[in-house]
Amino acid sequence: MERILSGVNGNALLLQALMLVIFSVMTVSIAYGVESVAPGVHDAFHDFRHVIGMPCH
Amino acid sequence: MNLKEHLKSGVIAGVVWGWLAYLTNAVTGVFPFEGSFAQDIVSFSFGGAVFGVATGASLALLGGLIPFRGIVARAVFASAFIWIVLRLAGDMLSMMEPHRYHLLTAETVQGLALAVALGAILGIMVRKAKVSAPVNA
Repeated sequence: MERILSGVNGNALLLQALMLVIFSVMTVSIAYGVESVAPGVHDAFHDFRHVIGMPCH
Repeated sequence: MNLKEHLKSGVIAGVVWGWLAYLTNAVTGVFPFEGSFAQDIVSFSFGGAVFGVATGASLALLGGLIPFRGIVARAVFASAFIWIVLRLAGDMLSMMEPHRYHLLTAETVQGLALAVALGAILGIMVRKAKVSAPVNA
């Protein structure tokens, strides 16, 4: 894992891109409260979403 | 500096930013909190960390494409850019499902200011990590 994150491994670029995608999905899920991706995320981050100016009901 | 260092800085900057966001809203009163303090401090910490990591990872992988030389300016650009993209997509969601998604100007202004703050915190942390990196190596 250390080598992957440090960019030593040959597949580092692919894995780094995969990590970026995973974190992007998590960010979008929290930003819009996408229940189909993570059940409960809407209520859990309701106040956070409003405070950072993201759309909500 | 590699992705690992950016992710580490992103987590710390994101958690600090989450607390800053909570404090800022408590002062401005733009959105009256609906959850309890205990619930919010957890969600703001975790949410902040996710945003911080996403911004840190974007900065590490795509930072070279940002037309600024300073790391703080680049981090602010990356953070603000991510926020604006999310906000524009939110506009589209609001148009498609107006009963589900509402956008408020005061929250938008506060959110953009907080996005700039996240970039500034992250940029300062990355710069500090860069400065101390040769000493630790």
